[in-house]
Amino acid sequence: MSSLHLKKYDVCVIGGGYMGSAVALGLVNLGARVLVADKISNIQKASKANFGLVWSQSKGINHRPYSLWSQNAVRATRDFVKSLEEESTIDVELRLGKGMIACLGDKELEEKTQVIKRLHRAAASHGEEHPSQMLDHKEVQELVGKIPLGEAVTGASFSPIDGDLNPLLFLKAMRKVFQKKGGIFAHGCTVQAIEKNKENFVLATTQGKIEAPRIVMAAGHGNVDLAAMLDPNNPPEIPIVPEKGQLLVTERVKPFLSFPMSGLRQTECGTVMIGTTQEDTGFDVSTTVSVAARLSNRAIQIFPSLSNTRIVRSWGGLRVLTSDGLPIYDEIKGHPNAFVLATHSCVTLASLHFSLLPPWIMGKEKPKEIQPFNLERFHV
Amino acid sequence: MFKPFKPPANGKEVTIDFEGTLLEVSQNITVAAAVLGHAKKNFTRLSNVNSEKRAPCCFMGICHECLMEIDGIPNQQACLIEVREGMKIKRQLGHPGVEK
Repeated sequence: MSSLHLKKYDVCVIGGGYMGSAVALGLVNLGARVLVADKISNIQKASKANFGLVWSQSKGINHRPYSLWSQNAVRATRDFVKSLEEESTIDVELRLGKGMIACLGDKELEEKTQVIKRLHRAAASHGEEHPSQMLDHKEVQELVGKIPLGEAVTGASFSPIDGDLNPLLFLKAMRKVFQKKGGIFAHGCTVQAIEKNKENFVLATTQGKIEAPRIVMAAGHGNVDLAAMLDPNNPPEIPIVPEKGQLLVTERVKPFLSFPMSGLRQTECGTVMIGTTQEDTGFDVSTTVSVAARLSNRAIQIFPSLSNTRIVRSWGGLRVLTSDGLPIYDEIKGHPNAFVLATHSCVTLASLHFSLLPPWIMGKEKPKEIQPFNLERFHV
Repeated sequence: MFKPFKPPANGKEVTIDFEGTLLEVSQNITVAAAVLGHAKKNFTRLSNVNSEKRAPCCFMGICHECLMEIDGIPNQQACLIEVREGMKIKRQLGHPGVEK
């Protein structure tokens, strides 16, 4: 791409993953001139290692605003994806309406039952209903169909709204429509310094200088360093840590599972994805045999007939985890019009990132749904 | 349709069984090359998703278009496996189920 030297935009979005792409697409829809600066990273980007769940049932167990935010996002996904597919002509393989988390043994069943009860109580205290429910072994078997369920499966939590999609095609579709509508996507553009003149932020990048009155940090773990560029002597604190997830991919087999079971889903082309772990290993994304064994073992306990299916790939990626697990959507204190956005659930939440964040970024009032997800909560 | 662009190094041949037809093919070539170069109707599998005919594309283990059943084991990448004397090769008509 040609030099972006001294190019002026209305908004510069730093980071072209699910977060940056969804927000950038919403911004061009509002008529803004938008540049997305997406750097080449030597670590596995979170958006390239995603499992593809569109998921609400296990979110916000102790935080009702996050539970609602996730449910509303899942409910908005069908319409968002429909228009995305029409405009991009890419089928992102969305399936909504069934999502399950299998429980192995009595202890897991009891714990999951308590979680679902807590979600129901929290909803009931507001005169509402939470869509998730518990299923027993027989009900799980009826829903999965022909493939025999392992005896170790004692039940499952079930959501009638959750589902999955092909995460790479989803990302491709958002980027394609963004560019089709006039957005500039700068591949391999690394922001090296941020300064301010009278009206604009001036970004020094590997592809020249970019000026914009508004900047959006949507760079996952990179947000920490980007925020520090605003004030190197007194860097704003962005509490994000990496959390490693590993997953396995099997050879292609005949379709046997038509909906995601949390860490187990079969893609349209027949592979089974088996995940995923939650590990604190810093920025190390290597895969380990012990984890592969544990993941495979769990999958076989759910569907014993999978024991004949071979694993062909495994990979590790890094989630963008905030210190309390909830999203961050905020303007950085002392730096008006510099926004920071971060969450580990960027596929699930993309529909609302697309619709609700852009008007706020362009100067409208901050939506009340996202007010709990500020930076101030980390400073109490 | 496909021809070798240089003669085999040692001129030796092996006999393989492709869907019941015996083929004399050069040693040290892959199953994918043998199927494309020697068998008629050169395809290696039918898609699991839409039953279309598929043939080897990348020849380096990435595209998985060359999946075949080799010596009774399904989902083998024909582009990564060399022919052996007596090898039995079948086209893969859709993917195997999990219960083999």
